[in-house]
Amino acid sequence: MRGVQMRRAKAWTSLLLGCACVLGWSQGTQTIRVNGTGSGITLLKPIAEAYRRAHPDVRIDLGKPLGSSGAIKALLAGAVDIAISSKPLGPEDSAKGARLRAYGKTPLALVAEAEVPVADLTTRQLEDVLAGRMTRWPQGTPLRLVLRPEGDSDTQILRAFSPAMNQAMSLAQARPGMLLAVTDPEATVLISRTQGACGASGLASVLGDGFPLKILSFNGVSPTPAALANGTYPFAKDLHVVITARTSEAALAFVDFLYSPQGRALAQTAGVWVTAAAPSGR
Amino acid sequence: MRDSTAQPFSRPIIWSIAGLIAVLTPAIFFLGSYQYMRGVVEARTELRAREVSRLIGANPLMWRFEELRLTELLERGLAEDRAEMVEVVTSDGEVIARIGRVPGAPSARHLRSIHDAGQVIGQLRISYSLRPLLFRTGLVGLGSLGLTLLLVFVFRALSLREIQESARALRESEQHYRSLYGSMKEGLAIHRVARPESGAQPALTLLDANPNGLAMFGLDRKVVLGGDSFTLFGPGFREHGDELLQAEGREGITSFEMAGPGGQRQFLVHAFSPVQGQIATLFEDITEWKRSENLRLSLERQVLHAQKLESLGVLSGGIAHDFNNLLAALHGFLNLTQLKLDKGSPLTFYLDSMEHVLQRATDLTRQLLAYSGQGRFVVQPHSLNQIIQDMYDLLKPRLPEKVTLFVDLAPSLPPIEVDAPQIQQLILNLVINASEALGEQEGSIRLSTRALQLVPDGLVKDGDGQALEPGEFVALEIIDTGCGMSAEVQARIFDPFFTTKATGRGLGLSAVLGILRGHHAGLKVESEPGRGTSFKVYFRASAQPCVAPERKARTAQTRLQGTVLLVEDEEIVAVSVSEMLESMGLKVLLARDGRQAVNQFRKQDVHLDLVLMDITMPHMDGIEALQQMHQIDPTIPVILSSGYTRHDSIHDGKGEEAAGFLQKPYSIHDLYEAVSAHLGTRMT
Repeated sequence: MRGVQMRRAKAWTSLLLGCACVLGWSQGTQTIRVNGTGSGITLLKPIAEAYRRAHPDVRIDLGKPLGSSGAIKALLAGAVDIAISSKPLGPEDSAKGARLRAYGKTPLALVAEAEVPVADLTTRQLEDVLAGRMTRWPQGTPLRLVLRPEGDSDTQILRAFSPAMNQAMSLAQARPGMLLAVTDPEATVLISRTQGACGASGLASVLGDGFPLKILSFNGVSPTPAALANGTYPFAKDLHVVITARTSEAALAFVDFLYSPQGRALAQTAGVWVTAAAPSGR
Repeated sequence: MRDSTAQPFSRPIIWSIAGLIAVLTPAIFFLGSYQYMRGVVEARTELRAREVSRLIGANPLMWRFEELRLTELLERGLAEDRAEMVEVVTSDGEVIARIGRVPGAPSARHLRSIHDAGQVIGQLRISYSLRPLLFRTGLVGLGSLGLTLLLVFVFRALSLREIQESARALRESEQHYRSLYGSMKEGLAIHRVARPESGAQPALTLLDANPNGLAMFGLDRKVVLGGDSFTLFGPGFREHGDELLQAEGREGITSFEMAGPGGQRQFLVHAFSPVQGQIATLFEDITEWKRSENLRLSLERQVLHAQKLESLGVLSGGIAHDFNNLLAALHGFLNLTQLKLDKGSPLTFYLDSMEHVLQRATDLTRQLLAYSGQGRFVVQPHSLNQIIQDMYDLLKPRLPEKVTLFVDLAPSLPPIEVDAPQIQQLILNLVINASEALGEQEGSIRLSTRALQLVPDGLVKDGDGQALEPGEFVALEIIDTGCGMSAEVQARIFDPFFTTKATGRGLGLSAVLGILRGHHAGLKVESEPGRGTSFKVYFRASAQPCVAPERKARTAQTRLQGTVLLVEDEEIVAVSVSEMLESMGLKVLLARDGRQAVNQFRKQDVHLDLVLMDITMPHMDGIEALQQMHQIDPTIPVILSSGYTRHDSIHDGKGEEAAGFLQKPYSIHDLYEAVSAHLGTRMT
């Protein structure tokens, strides 16, 4: 009997302490909800960490990546405060009050599982890999292509490279039983865990997630922000910051931090070529 | 016109079946395919719902914004033809993901709730078009319709046609059978055999009969069907009851002849058993056939009889010919002996007796010759009355005193063309026959003549069935009051050597028949036992005038002068006649046949006064030799002689120019009279 009463007393105590902690934390901390393309979320991780250290009362919630479109919808629905998009806004989004600010570009890197004995792919090889004409690596090990959804920006970037690449991508999308990754983080995880796998992912995501991947050069050019800047590397993912009029002050402050020299430097380190001009003040 | 009784039923049935197949096949296909498609959609929906629920579990706060992931998830189960639309709708009605296009009508919809920890938070809506299924159903419908039409065509073109052909063949067969059954000449009756359990005599019941079968026995169909067959078809049928009943249930045909009711008609009956318990009888009316058969047998007997008589005639004629030659030679030598014998010699009686015997032998051969029908030597128009009158003196002595002969001759009878001696022989034979019928009793014989016209109905026939043409006839009737004859005797009285008398030779009436046959005359015999007999002989009247009988006085046998050419092939006759002629004082030249005689006649080295020539000779007969001689010298008198001739007398246009005729055997007196008549004229 006494044991039962003791357990009831502990349960009530724990409940009261929990309620006190939640109420106290919510009253003193501001949460900034950020979501968007996978590369953008990965990019924001070191920047958010730096901003949280400078603003302890601010909590930056980087959720599971919803993708550009999903993040903008969530932004417009008030579910997030800032959206990081790799796509431009649609007319409907703008009409609903979304505002876009360009930030930078990150290379769409061709990556492979760490054990793949290849360091470079040519245009022809990439087309053959997509079209299914090349199913084994030169050493004879199986080649497993990890695709991105048809509507994903990564797919569109590769299609836009050339008509031949576009046709090869169509063949790849039509092949049944393909490995599919919806977001960049999913792609890096899947490629790193699949023997002989290869695919495309934003460099920021590759670098930020830290999975053991081999970054392949394309026609001898490595995917770096510098290569993007000098125009030698062809595949680039845009990164935009999308806000609305309802975006909170705290969130806007975080946006400013992104465009600040510190933020830009962090972004550069994370694999982003920041193309936006330095802010001159709000 | 309907081809078949089955057609009115078969055609709607066929079309109904075809319509059912044409409708049911696509309907079943549609229902089956719809159920299958719905099952597939439900399965895919279930899988999608699970994926969505998993996605919600992974990101319960933000799942509704994962458009890309949801779209990719929904695309996985999209139908191949993409004719469907899949939507994820939240519980407040917001569509958060949609893939595919709005399907065109008609369409079907399938809904599936989306749960999060047991709570419905949305709905998965799948709309899919039924157009492809309807299109495929239409194709199946068209295919089944085409197949059905093909089946109908094939069934109608082949099976139904065969059925119709079979039905038509069966109907035609039945019609043929009915036609045959109704029109067959024979009568056909079908009977049922009823065998009582008591073991009594089985009964026959008439089941059916064709019209001829009923008509044959004068039966009425309405009355007789079901009646007792033995009663209906008469006692003749009942007589063969056992044979009929034995035929039941057995193979083969039992045949018998039976008399119809009343016994007037005869039937040939064939009985057989078509099925167990039944007997069919085929009646064939053979009354006429039997009558014809009897007539045929009668005619056959008559022909055989005639052939027998003809054979006997030929035999008789041949014997008579040879005997006549022998008798002629014998008569000649006898007469020569008589001439050279002194008068008062005791041998004269023997020689006269011998001549009497010779005369009887001559009569016998004459009868034989008459029977052969070839004894007509000189056929000329004669008066029947005159012939009778000429022989009256001959007849009278032949009759017993108790017999009275009445002669009733009709005046002004037309002449008849006959051989007078043969007619005399005929009359003599009939009178003697009548006399013998009277026997020792008193009685009378009436011999009468008359002229009459025979019409077709009144025609009479002779014993050989020789027909007489209608026309004018002269009848000779000989009626006696004798014992008469039975029918059996009458049937045989003309047979040679048939006689009812111990002393008779049986040739008299046979000779009569031969003479009648030779003259194409008719005969009618009427007789009854105890009531006398009547013989009526019918000679066809002739338009030719009668030949006046030559009345020659028997001249004294003075010696004659002249040369005679004797033509005779028989050596013994030639010697005999030659001797007789030379005994008369004549010079005789001899030739053996006609050709030799003509050659000798042609030589002209010897003067000939007379030619005495036989008719029947080798190489050239007497008739032809006569004609050739008359071509050389038409005035030479030629006397023909014969005891037998195959020629139908001199009358047939041949030998009429002969100066005379001597029938063998003849006496020296007959020879002298014949020869002296012609030589005498020359002597003067």
